Amino acid sequence: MSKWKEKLKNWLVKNVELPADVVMDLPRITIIGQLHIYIENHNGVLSFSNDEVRLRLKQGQLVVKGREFVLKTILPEEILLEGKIEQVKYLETL
Amino acid sequence: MDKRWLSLFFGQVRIEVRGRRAEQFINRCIEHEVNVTDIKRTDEQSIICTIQSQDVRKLRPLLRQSDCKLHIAGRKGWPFFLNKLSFKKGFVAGILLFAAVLFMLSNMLWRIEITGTDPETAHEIRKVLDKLGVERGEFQFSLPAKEDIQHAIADQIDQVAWVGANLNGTTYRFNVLEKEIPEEEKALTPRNLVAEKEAVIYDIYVEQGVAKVQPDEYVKKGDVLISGVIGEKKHRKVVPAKGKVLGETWYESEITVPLVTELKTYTGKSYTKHAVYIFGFRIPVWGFSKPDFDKYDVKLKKTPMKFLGWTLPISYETKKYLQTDKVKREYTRKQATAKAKQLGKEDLLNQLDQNARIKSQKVLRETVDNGKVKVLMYYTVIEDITVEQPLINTKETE
Repeated sequence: MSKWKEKLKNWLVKNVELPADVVMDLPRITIIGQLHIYIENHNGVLSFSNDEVRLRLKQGQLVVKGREFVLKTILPEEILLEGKIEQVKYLETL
Repeated sequence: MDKRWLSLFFGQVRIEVRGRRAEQFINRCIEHEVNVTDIKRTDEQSIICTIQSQDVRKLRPLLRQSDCKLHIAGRKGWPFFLNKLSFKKGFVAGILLFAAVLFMLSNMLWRIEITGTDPETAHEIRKVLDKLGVERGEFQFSLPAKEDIQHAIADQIDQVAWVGANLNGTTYRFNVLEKEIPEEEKALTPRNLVAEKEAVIYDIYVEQGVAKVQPDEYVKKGDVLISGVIGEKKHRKVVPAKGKVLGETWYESEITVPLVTELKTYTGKSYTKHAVYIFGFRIPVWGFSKPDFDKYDVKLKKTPMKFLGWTLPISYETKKYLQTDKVKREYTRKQATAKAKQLGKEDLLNQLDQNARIKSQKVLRETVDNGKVKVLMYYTVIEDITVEQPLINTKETE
């Protein structure tokens, strides 16, 4: 049943031009230069340090690496991270 | 999203959270809707972050769940600032009180200066001012309008012709112009007294000189009345002629009085609105409704507020609505004529010298036209008709 749902969502995104983050509950990430990274639709903080932040996503994790990180704002579904961002990486755990 | 201004208002607390699972604590906070901002890692064991001061109470169970210890690192925002200040309450209150008193004193009237008149008239003016409420120690915005003060003084004191009032800082300056400048006795030069206008001599009184006319004699303008040349040929002498010659003169005047006049009167009912202007923005203080009468005159008074020598961008305004009433005044023809006579007489007396008097008056013509009574009056007046004519060359005058 849920597989069928996933397929429908995929189809919707591809053919009806609905935004993927809304339909499929995916994170939406906005990066402004190396200064800010703004992540919506996360599922909590896994680890936080000065040079690495791990966020839990619906599927897998998001790793942001850089320097001098400060979590400016943190809300149930949004995070604003400040610092010098060097890389953003998806980790898939199945 | 950002409620930073709000947080400044309520106060924030900077806390240090120690524990192996500090992230867990952050997640818990989010779940319980505790707003956490500016999170930073200080070392492996601890993070530092900012929360709202009113959320501190909610933290205890969250800390227990996530096995963390809390340590308050700092406070900022209004409530804490106020708290700090409260230690110096007396000091702050003193400053505020001082400013308030200074402000009050800056807006009072401290001196009344009257210039241009003798002390006696000045005293009279002071009495009038007292009655108007212009006194030392009075608030400036409670004083009557400048024009009203000027009018009142000029009306109530006869010697005063004109008053210039000027509020300068906390001093009210009155510059008085007196009606009669005392006449200086001039050293008289030889002169004749001649007729100012055509007249019939009524009475003549010579102090010095030779009378050239007799009562009931008709004189034209420029005729010599009292000559300054006295003595016969050899003993001829030129003196300043002195004396008084009363002549009968004639005036005609036409007065028009409308039979029906619409007059505007004040009923005495009034309504006052008070407002404060700050940077030109009007904030009503008292009197929010409209006056409960529809015909009115508005009297506006705006007083700028001062602080020491400066005029603040704040002013106090009173707007007084005076109820007016229209009254129709109707004259019968007889009344209108009587009124015209009275007006004509007053008008004439205003034009004439103080010592002149009206001997007789006569109505020459009286017509009613266009709802107006037109009266042509004829007056006989007894007045001093002399005017000086200097004697420059004695040969000329014989």
